[in-house]
Amino acid sequence: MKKIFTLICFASLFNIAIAQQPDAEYNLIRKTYTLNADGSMDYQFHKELTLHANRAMTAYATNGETFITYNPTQETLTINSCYFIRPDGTVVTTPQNAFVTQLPSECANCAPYNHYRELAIVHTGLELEGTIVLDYTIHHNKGGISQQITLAEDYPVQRYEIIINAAPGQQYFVQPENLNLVQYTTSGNGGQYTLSAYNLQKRYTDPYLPSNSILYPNLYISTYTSQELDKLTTINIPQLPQASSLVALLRRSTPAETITEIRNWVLNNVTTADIKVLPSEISTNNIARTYATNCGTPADKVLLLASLLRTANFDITINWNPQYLQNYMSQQYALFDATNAEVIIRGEENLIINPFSTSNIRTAGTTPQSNNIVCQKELPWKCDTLTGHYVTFTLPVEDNAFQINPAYITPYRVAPLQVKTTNERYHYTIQLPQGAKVIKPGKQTYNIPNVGQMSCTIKQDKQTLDIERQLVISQDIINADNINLFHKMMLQWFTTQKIQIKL
Amino acid sequence: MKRHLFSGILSYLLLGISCTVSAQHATTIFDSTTVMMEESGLSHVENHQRIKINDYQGCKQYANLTLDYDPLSAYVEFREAKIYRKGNATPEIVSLDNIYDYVAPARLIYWGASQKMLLIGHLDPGDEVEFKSYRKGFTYALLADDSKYIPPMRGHFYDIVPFWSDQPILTKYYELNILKNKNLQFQVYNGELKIDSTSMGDRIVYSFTKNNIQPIKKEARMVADNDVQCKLLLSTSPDWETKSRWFYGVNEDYGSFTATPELKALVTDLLKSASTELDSISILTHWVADNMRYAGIPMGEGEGFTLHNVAMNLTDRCGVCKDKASLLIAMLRAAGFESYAAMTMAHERIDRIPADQFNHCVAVVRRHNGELTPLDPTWVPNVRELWSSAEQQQGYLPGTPEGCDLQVTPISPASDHYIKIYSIEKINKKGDLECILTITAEGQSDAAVRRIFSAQKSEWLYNLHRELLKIDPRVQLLEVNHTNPEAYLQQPVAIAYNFVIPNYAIVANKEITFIPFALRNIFASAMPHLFFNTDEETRQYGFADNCSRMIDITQTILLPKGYKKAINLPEDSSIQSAAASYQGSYTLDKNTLLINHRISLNKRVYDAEDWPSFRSVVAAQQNCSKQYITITK
Repeated sequence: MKKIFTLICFASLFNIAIAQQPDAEYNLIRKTYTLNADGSMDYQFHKELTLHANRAMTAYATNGETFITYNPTQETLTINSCYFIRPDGTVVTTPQNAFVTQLPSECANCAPYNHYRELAIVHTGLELEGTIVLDYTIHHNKGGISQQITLAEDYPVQRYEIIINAAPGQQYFVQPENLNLVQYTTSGNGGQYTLSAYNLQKRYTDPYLPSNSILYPNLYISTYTSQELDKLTTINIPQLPQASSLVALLRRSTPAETITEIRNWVLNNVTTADIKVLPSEISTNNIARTYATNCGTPADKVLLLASLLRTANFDITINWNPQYLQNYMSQQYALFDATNAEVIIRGEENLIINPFSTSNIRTAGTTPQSNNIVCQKELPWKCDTLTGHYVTFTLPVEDNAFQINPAYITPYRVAPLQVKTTNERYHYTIQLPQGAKVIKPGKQTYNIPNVGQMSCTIKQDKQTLDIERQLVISQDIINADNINLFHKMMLQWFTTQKIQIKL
Repeated sequence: MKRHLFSGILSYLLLGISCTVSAQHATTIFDSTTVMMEESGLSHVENHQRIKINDYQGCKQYANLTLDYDPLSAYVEFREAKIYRKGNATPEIVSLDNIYDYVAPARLIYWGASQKMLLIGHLDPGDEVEFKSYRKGFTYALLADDSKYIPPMRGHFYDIVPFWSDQPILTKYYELNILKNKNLQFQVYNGELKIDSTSMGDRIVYSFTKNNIQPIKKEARMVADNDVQCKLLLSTSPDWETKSRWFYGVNEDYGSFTATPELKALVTDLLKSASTELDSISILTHWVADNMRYAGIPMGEGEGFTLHNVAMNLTDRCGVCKDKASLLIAMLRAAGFESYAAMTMAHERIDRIPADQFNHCVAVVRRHNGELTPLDPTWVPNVRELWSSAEQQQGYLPGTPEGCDLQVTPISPASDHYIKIYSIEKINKKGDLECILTITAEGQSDAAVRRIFSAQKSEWLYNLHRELLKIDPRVQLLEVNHTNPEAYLQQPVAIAYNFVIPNYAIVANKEITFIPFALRNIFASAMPHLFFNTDEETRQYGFADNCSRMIDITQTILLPKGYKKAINLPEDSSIQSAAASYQGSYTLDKNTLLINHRISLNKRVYDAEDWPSFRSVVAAQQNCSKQYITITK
């Protein structure tokens, strides 16, 4: 066969092994945060991106544009420089008509946030092996940072710098994570902090990826102490009298159904303005506005949900779920992200919900999903004909059973694989038709030490088929070293779900 | 004329339309439009609507009202808005202070298209919203002062009025007050309207009414709504030739195609290697396709219908379809060709009334035989064509000095868009499969297969392997080679795989049972016809595939010695029709099984009557991909 393969290969075939130069590369990304004495902040961003492949610059590639969203009522955007360096060294300055200020799509159909703006910059004059250079500053009147900066981009980065300069009296906390994954230096003196990371790989694009916190180097920056964020939990959520008729319409026969109806109304009928707000911008004054305009930020939706539940006379609190950082000089800092928030309904319902997903309703004190399954039952005979006298009996997929598509896992994968731990035992019996015979009875097992194991035993006794299957996965992150073994185990697990039978 | 007259169409890839009637979240009680046209062509348009909200989705949909406009060429305003709460006859007046005026969110085309949004506020099911709006002007940029609202084709009027909707309309009314000497021509397509006319001195008032407009049941991948649903076309332009001459003149007057020394030098350099007329045309078309990005930046006055000039295009290296066409025309002229711009309507029929039914701009070049050949630098990056056959059976209008009638691009033969799959498969006694499989493709099919290389290079190997894993996750890839995707003009794409699949076949009782691998729809994404749902026996409307297409599959399967008797082997079969055909044959010669399949889908746009044969062919291919074969000793 190898000879045949060589014969039919085309003379000009291109060997894939040599095709590893990146399509583009950042020479430099620099983010500078300056915390001013008056409480305001300047954020300066600088990037230099060199284009190595036509794919990265032409047709419908996205690298030719930069979009900067800002809030003009509190922020001022200044473009410091924007140009393209052609391969021959000539500089094409981006013309004025290539800067278009528009409404960000995140704020479409949302009157309360219609004042937000997005500067669309179309980088002009692009050529292969040229470099896009952009430098801008956003001045924030109010200041305040709560950010996780992930040091990974869509292309490799030669040098990634994060610089923080704080005026005397301006407090902040930085917490690096996974810096051991890269070559880096840090320096700090008084209110100044610099992180320089080198030769960063591009982001993974594989399916089933773990979170950024596991995959990449990160830097957490916060000016918010945990005490400040904890205060949000004690906000008194008012009822919303103007929504009483709506709440009456949404009321159902049981509290759980009513809660679900109210949650679904907020989820489906309030447009999400997907912009991040700082903790200092959380206000119950927004609740009536969100209701009146059918629109709000994730934080607004959380507050409206809580208020509607209060209007329905439920006893609720909001857990904003801040991400606590390490202690620093007896002070604890934290990050804030409204999309992590949950509304807790106290009392006999004891439920936890959020307005972002239909799947996140659970009873307090439980984990989101149970991963222990024990199933024993007799299955009715039902088969798919392959051809003539060959049929397949497909075992059912039980609720909450482990699912992954092995076709998405290749031997080249270097990214860890996110799975969920599980322990599943199934014992099925099936009455076969007269004369039917299973083609491959017996036992199959696969074991990966410290990761998991599977087994499947198929026995036929006259016309009774007895099947025992077990799957145990003890780690939720499968490292690259084990991915091939894990792939094989999954193949075996899913292959044994289909039992071939000769009638 | 639409705002994005030449913005190009990207939606041709997005054909998976739902096959159900849209949920009716609201009902339009009436929708009344009156248009008063002045001598200059300037039109004053007043609209009055009343909407009943049926459910919470409708409440969300009508919490705001928006009017689109281009501030350089049009003026819009809300004049009145009221809410009738359910069960209350006294309306609430909506404050016109809650109007937001802003540049609308945009991607790819940044011309400053604007919106005015009126906040209606919270609604409940059963509420009704009534509002009046006013518009004057047009939807692309023109001149300063009051004259900016006069259309570029001065003194003329056109409109395309859909008398269809995705929500029920109890009454729709359209009225046009126009000077008699404008010689309006109009026609109703795909339905009937109540039509009246009243003479008032030197003016005449036409009115068009339709009651009880219901949303149709949409069919997946049906042709455009405007092709099948009731619409009214109106135009004072006497014929397409007049429109053609106007389009020629407006760009010549602006100087869109005037060559600069830089352009001449570039063309000379690019054409060094050209030896034929077609070489030159191809080199220039693909240079523009690949080196001028699709991103529209505004030129100010004239944006929307004026093609950017050479200096701007060469410096910016970006633009929309009209700007890419403009640079190509200038380059062709610099090379000595006669070339013009042309307007077209991607994926929608252009009807005979010369209203501006255009959404895309291309170029035409006169060949030595005198024919004008269309070229589309917007749709051919990484495509081995000069005119994308994804635009076959499509109307277009070249802008020429003598004037042109409407043209239609011809059907592109399916054989120009082939996919050829050739495989040698060997199955051993344990049922393991070893396979050598090559796939080659041309034309639009080449572009579809080649799309696997549109990701970053570092992802190619994964993507190539995944095409096999999608068929069977047990595939173990031994080797894969392919042509260089960055040199796409040199040769059609070719990919060669060598792989094994353990336990691929069922081996039992001296029988081997398996599905021939090459029939299992590898690279299905390049065969979009496979995603047609063939459950429905008939269709009410025409339908569209991405392109005509031919698939040739040649397979040789070597079985273990002694396996030479077929137990389950499909019979040779053939389906022949003008629209589509299928031929499949299976020959067992000792322990060698030879399989040949040919599928031919002969058009892009099909009539509803073509569906039974098209459906049979698609179903035949789908069935083969699931059909097991059993061979015994």
